[in-house]
Amino acid sequence: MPGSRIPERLISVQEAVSGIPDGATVAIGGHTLRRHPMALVRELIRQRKRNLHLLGWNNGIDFDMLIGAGVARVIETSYVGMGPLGLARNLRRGVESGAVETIDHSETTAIDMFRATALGVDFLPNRTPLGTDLMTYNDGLVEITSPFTGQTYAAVRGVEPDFAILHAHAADVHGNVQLDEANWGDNTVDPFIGRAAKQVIVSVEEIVSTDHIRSNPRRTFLPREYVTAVVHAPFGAHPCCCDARYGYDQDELRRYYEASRSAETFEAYLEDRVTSVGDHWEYLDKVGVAGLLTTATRTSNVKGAERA
Amino acid sequence: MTCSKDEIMTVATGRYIADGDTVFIGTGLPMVAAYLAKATHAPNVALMFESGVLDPRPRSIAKAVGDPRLVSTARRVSGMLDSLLMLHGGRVDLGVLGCAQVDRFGNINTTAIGSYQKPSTRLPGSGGANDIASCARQHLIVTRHNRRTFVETVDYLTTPGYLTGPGARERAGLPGGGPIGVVTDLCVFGFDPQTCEMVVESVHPGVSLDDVRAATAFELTVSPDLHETVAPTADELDILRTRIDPDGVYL
Repeated sequence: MPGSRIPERLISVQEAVSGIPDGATVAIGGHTLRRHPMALVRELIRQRKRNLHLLGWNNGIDFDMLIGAGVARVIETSYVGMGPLGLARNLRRGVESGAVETIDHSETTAIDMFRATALGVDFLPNRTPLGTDLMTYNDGLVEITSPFTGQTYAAVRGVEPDFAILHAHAADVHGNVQLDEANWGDNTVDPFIGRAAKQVIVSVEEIVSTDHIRSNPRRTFLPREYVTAVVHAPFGAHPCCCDARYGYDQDELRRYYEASRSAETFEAYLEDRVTSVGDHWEYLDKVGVAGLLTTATRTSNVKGAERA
Repeated sequence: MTCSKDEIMTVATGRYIADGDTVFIGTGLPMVAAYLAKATHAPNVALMFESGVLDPRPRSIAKAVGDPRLVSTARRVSGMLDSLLMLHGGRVDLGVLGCAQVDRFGNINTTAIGSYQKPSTRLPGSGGANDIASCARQHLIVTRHNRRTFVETVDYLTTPGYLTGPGARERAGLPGGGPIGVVTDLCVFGFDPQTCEMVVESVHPGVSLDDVRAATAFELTVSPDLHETVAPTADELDILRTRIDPDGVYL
C-alpha cells in the first residue's frame, strides 16, 4: 500500500520459518487432526530445526511428525493422538526411548497456560488437575489457596512461547487474520495461543484486501496487533481438515499412519513428502490437483472410531 | 433374544442416563447409549459434545463429534472452550469416559504404562477426560474388562476417581462428585458410598463371578444384592439395530 505506514508482513514460508532458532519454544494451533499449520511444520523439518519445545492444547499429526523428524525435544500439551486412526506412533517411540520429554496437562490447564498470558497475568487458577499425577510431574501446576475462600486450586503457570504457528482461512498483508463464519467448531482456543506468543506466524488459505477484512470484521480472530508474519499457504493444513474449506485427506492420513509404524518406514515417508520436496508449492504439485480437490469436495470423516 | 457384548454394554450404559440430565458425551459406544436413552426412558436428556454442540435432536446417529447434522437441530452451538466452561461451571450432570487402566477407586490412567519418564507404552494423555471427571457432577466409566485394565494401582493417575478413598476428592479440592459406575463387557460395578471402592453389582447373562474375578487384578468386592444385569429388551435391541446404528458403525 503506497504511502502506508502500516507494515506489510507477508513473507514466504521459508523466510518465516528461518527466523525460528534451534531450542525455541513453539506453540502450535489446531486440534488433533484439524487445522494444524502443516506447511509450516513441514518447513521446520526441511530446515532441520532441532531441540524445539512444542506447546499446544490438543495435538496430533503436527507433534507426531515433528517428533518423528527429530525436531522436538520437549512436548507440552494434554493430548497427542491420531484421533480415529489410533496412537501417535512417533510420539510413542520418542517418549519410550527417552528422546522426548513430556509435560502433561488436562485440556483446560493446557488452554489456561496460554489464556493467562493473553490476560496479562502469570498464572490462572484451575481445579481439574488436583489430586492427580498431572500435578506430580508438571512443575507448571502448583497448589495454591484462594485468599478469599480458602479453596485449593492448581495455579497454572502462564507461558510466553517464543513463537506461535497457526493456520487460518484468510488474512491481509498486514496480518489481520480471519476464520470463516462457517467454522463453527473449535475456533475458540487458537486466539489465546496467538495472544500468548512473542512472535506469531500465521499461514492462510488466501490473502485478501484490508477492505475485504473490514467488510467482514466479525471474522477477524487475530488483528495485526498480535501478528508478526503472514504466509500464503493454500491447503496449508493438508492432510488435516481445514473446517469448511476442505476435509481430511483420508488416503494421505492412512499413508502417514502406516509409514509411522517404524522409524525406517517413517524416514522414507519424510523423504518422499517433505525433505526431497523443495517447498510448499512443490508439495502441492506432489499431492496433485485431483487429490487436493477431492479432499475439498468430499465428506469430511476419517473412517474408524471417529473421535476427531 | 441373544445380544452382543457391545449391545449389553450399550444398554447398561444408557440406563445411567437420567431424563432431563445434561450429559457430556464422546463418540462411539457412549454416544449410541445416549441416543438409545433419548429414544427410550430419557427423551429430555440434553447431550453435549466437546465441539460446542449442545442438545441436538438428530434423526440419525452422528458420524463424529463435529458432524454438521448435529448443528442444525441444536439448542446452542458454540466452541470447544465454551463446552469446557460448562464443565467448570458445574452445569454438566454426567460425563462418560473410557480408560487404559483403572483402579478400585475409579482412578484412570490414559498417559503412560510403566514409568512416566520412560514408559513401556506412551498413551495419548488426558485430552478432555481429566476435565470431565474433575468437574462433572458425576461420571461413568465404560471399558473392556481384563487384568491389564483393572489394576491394583494405576501407573500414572491421569483422571481422578475417588483418589485414595473417602473424602479425598473434597480434600484435593475437586468440584465434581466422582464416578458412579463402571460398565464392562462382563459386569456392572457401582461404588460403595462408605469405602469409595468398586463393587460388582451385576454380572451380564452367561458371565460368572469367577469370570469377573479372573479378569480383575485387584481383589473383588461384591454387592450383597448381586444380580444378573437386566438383558436388553427386544424393544431396545430393535431401536439399536434398526434406528440408531442400522449400519453397525459402532456396535
